[in-house]
Amino acid sequence: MKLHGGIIIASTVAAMALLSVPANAGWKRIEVEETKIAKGAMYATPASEWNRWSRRPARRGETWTKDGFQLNRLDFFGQIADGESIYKERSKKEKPLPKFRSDMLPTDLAELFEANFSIEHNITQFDVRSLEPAQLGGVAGVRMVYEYALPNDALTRVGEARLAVSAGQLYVINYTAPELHYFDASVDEVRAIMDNVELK
Amino acid sequence: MMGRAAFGAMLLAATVLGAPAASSAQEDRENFLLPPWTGAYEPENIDERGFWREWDELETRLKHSKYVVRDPALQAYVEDVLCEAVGNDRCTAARIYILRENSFNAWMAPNGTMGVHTGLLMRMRNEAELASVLGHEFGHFEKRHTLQGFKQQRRTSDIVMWAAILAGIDLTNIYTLTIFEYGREQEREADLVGARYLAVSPYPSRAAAEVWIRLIDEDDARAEERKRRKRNRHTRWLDSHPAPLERAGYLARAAEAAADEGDYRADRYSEVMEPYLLGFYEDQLQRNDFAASKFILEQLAGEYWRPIHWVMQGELHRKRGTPRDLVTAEESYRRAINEGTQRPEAWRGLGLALMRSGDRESGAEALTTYLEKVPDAPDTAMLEMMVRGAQK
Amino acid sequence: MKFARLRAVFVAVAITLCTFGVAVESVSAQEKAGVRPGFEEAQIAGEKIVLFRPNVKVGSQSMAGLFEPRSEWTEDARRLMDAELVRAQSRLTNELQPMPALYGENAQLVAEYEALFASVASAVVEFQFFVGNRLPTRKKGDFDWTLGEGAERLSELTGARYGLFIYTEDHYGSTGRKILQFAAAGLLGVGVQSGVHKGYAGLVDLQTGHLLWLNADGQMGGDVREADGMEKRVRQLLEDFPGSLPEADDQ
Repeated sequence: MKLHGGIIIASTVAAMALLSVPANAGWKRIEVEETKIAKGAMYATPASEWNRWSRRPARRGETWTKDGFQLNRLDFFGQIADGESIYKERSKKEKPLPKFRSDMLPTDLAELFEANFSIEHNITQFDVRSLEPAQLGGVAGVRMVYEYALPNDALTRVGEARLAVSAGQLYVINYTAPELHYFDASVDEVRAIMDNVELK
Repeated sequence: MMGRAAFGAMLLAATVLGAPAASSAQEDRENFLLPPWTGAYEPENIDERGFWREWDELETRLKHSKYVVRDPALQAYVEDVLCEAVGNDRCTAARIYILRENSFNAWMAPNGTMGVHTGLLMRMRNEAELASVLGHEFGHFEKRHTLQGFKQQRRTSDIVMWAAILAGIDLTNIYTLTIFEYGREQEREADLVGARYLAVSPYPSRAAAEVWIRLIDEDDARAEERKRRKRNRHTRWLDSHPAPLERAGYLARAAEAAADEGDYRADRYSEVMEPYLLGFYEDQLQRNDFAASKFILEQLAGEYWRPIHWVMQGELHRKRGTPRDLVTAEESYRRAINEGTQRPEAWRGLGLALMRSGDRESGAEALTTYLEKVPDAPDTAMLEMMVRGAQK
Repeated sequence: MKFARLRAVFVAVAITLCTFGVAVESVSAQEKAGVRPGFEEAQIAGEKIVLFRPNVKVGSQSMAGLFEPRSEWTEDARRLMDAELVRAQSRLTNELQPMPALYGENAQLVAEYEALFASVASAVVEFQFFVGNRLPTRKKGDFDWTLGEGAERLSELTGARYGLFIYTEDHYGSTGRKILQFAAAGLLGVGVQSGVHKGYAGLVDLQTGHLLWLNADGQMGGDVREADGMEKRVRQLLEDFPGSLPEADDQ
């Protein structure tokens, strides 16, 4: 009996380990129409269809992809209040994230994003390619283009983020993709979303 | 070479003068003399060949990895320190890769691939400390620990799986154990082999214990800030490494026994690191790890704060950005500038700290200086706009 | 005491099955191959295909599922793979040309594209072949994946119009693993997988970058450590490969 109990639990554990293939069948199609994003923190109309993941990167955030996260990923974060991090803080003790302050300069927002993104995705190689003024949904903010790499990966990955503060709250849209082909393939559409998004 | 000769003379002296303790002198000799180097070994059995193959594959990927810092000058320097640490006959067996990673780490694989994190280079205060860590890793290689470590690991993971089930241990531990960590015994052995390399090297053995003590203190600082329990004091059953405190203890005893003289080569080390230090430190600051970053800087600067250290302190405080931090940051950047720093980042930091504190005019002035020094910086467009905004 | 533990067991099992129920179902609903719409076998007739260096990895799996590389197996498999690909050549209409030795920037470029191919292939498996996780925009099932037009540079470097990528990874279950598998199946009816046997082969049009054909399977057959097994594996990898000669299957 004892042995069987052990084996059953063992197999439970093993089953959990083995079947933990992405059990995230939660996808929703984003149509070419005005779309409520991040629980109503933003509204935008994409030029083509996307897929929305059921897992949220933040309380008022959401994640889209066209072909899978390896190939393109678009994250939205809205209504981040003073004292909150951009991504959901998963471990205060091991991986604390820096927090948004409403008095931050545009350059501080860029640094805030860099730290949040790098800590969230365990990235140690992050380099800013350019940082310049830009609007996010008509609100003055920053545009940062950066490159990063995953350990032992030969692929250069590129990201473009726009950040802006509206009514004391931070809004972020971030797009990442491999530099070979994928980044350019969707960047125009993504920039149009960043230009035209409506911040609530 | 001087170091070796001096050590030989010292040993001789010990043998002559230490007549009453002849047997212990004999032991000392055995403890400290390095076994002759037999050349880089070829894998001998099934398991070893398997590992070599795996690591050869990994090394091929590493060669193209974006993660590797490709800087010939830095590369040559680290290679040179390894040779000084373990001797010219041994060091050619290793191929070093400097990896852009802010953590305090280095590793060595059975096929001779050695990884050195930029976070390690940033934290070392002198060549001797770097040599002690590289020697430790080389000790694993010479003792073929990766293989033993893996076998132990495999057994452990089977045992842990059953034990966890029966005892209700947090199951996440099973999956966080990594394959290429060594067992505790192997760590201890590598530490002691490393101590022997150091004893016959031009460096003082004391350096090794000093590294571990700083590792403990750094993590204590981090633990306090994050309000978590302090680690590194006691060796627990599942830990693969001896607790750093224990390590520092036996390494200090080994150093005392070796009683060797040596040169830390602190000046040469800071000279070589000077151009890289700020970049490595920025990677550390990105981890939102204020207390530990502050500790690292204080240990690095010691009693001799150079302009680069003031720039680093400015960055540290500016990035946290509380009103008091901004004052400290401003003072630090000014001090760096007054003491003749050539780093343009000092003016950038000063400008941003001033602006955030509300002194937009002085801030714009400092930023203008920065833009004159680095007209094609990645953030030029942003800063130009901030300057224009302040002048309105 | 015993009862309490048993109850805990059943709760654990129930939670597991609930949590992973969807996954269990979806694992079985896994597609294995895709062909780009509009692609005709005839179009590659007589064209050179460059074979990117096959990535072969073989080892054993301890009870807890840890991968233990075995070089004699890997070496055998690699040797057998090379030999088998030479033999497979007789079943193919096209000449497979080995990757020429490249240095410096060109080697870097090939490494970047190999990494991109790996990313694309894993995205195909994760977000299209794995039906339970298929992206809604791909629900129609059209196989439309690409490395991009820049892949043309690979064509220039190699002189080949098409590229074939092969990847296999095998973990053979240890005795402990097999016992666990047996026990789990007997007592729970849960299929604990012993070993990992995955592989993919992909044909890319280097002038357009389009993935013309991908064959990917998480549970491949054939013991790659033996000639017979490798023959089966390579057959499986190149099953329905666009350049196959029909009569060769009878050999």
